[in-house]
Amino acid sequence: MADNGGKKITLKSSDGEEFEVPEVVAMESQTIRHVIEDVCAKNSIPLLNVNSKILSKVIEYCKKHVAAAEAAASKASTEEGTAAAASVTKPSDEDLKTWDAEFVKVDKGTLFNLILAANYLHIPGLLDLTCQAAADMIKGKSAKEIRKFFNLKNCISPEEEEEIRRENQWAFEEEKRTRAFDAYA
Amino acid sequence: MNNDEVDRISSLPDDALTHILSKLCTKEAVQTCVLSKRWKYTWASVPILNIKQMDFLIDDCCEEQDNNVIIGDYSGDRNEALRMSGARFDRFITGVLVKRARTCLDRVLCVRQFESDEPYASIGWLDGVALFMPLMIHMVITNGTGNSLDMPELVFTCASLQYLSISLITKVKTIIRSVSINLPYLTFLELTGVELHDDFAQNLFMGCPSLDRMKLSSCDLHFFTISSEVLKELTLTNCCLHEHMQISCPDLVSLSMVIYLKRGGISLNNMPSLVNAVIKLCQYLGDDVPVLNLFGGLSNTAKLEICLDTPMLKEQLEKDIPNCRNFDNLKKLVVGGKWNMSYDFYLITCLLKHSPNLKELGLMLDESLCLMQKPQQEVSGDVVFQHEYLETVKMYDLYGTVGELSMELVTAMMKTLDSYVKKIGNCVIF
Repeated sequence: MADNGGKKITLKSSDGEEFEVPEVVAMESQTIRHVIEDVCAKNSIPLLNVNSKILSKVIEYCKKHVAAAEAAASKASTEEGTAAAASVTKPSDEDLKTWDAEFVKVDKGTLFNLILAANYLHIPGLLDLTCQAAADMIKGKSAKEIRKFFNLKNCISPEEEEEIRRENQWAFEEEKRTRAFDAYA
Repeated sequence: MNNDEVDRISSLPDDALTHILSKLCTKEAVQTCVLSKRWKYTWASVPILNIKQMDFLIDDCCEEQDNNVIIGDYSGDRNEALRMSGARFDRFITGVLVKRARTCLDRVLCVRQFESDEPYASIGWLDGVALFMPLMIHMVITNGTGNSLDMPELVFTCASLQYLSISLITKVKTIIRSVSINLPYLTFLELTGVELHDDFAQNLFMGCPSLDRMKLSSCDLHFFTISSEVLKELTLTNCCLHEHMQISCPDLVSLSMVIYLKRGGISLNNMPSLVNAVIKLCQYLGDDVPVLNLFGGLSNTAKLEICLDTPMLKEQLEKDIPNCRNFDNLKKLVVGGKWNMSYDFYLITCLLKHSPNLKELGLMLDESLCLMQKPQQEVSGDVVFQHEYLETVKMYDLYGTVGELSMELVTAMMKTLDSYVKKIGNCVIF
């Protein structure tokens, strides 16, 4: 990535660590972008809600995506947007997708901290990616399995649960079927 | 402390949690209501509806195996299974519309399928969806009942809509009658499988002042004009024209038409912004002789592809040649059709004559036709016109098969081209 002495900015994590990044990378965060553009920040921006471990991951994401966008843009301009360009950028789209998939292979705690950070820093791509990863963990699981997987504090009793299922009967129809089978089994 | 042992997900703020739930299909999102108190109403704020009939299908092949072996009880009666899943779909979407929060929707995706033995196809819930002011609606409805689908009308006055796509896969095409259309922010409209009459067309363009792109697929078009000041992209795929159609769109940049002409032809008027055009015309057998006024509207194009299914269409298009002005911007031209191009090069010659800056010429050849007639009539000695230079000539089989063109045909074409083009850079045979 062209690190040609473009403006740099310092981000300071909640636990005091400082990260110097090119401004264009930091601006992947809409929150930071507003601080830079509207508030005319000094060189260092404190991020009170993001610790160093998560901030370094976030910066890693932003760096990768800025670089990918720059590469795609330069390819497009040299190929005059012809069909050749379309087939050339596709492999790098795939590469980026693969990279993203690897990026979210983290423990649940880190994933949720990334979601919080993406939410707070307003980085749409990262928020989408991390929320999708969390959703993929929910998909296909029964209520019991979801509770176990996420260690949910189950504050409802079986009677309360039954009540909710009855209220929203239209949402649980096939499960009723399944339970009917349990009776036969 | 082990990261994995704490309930982190429940401590996410509401908007993050609804964002996660928005990545699930609505059925799974709603079913999180039993997880804990925290989750009881979270699903209700998810601004996305993603409800597909398949979500409700209990298929004995793909039932989840928890601890129990769950045997499908439908004894292979697929129709029955589909019908029941449809009923579940209807109950589910009604439940969601009643119980969800009174906040606006962003995106709606619904897929519903009516079987042949169902008495009627009704999608009344669409009105309920429209009341939530979504930005985007994408619907795929398969209607196997043989009865026409009742099309709810509120969607056409849903003032928030920016993107609307309705695909109706039906035995009997659904007629969308004259409805009141008021979609001030609609930029994209896609309709598949409908029959449209003139009243609808007029209301549509008047009621959609922001319409950028329009796609009609497998539609029966009974209207006379497509007239819009703002339309930039128009795609008509496998549509059947029942009236002579005038297209007048001064802002149109891209036009793609694959059309069956049943009655009447096509006129392209007033298209100064048109850059790319793909025009493929087929003809229903009949007495009708379609009038084609195309060249007047194509004069500013940079890329043009014309494909004519019958020699008669070619003759009709040749009648339009007097209306040809110069195609000064034309860089790439592709002409294809079912006539003997090695023998009859007239249409292409005329186009070459009007395209001084043409770089690439593509020819889509019907192998069987091109070699049928007696081989190349000697091109008359007094060939008046010769195009100066073509960078590339490409030859394709009309039906898309690679490697189909015989050496015989290629040679014949090259000989013809030699007569009409002084110099050719390179020639690519597919």
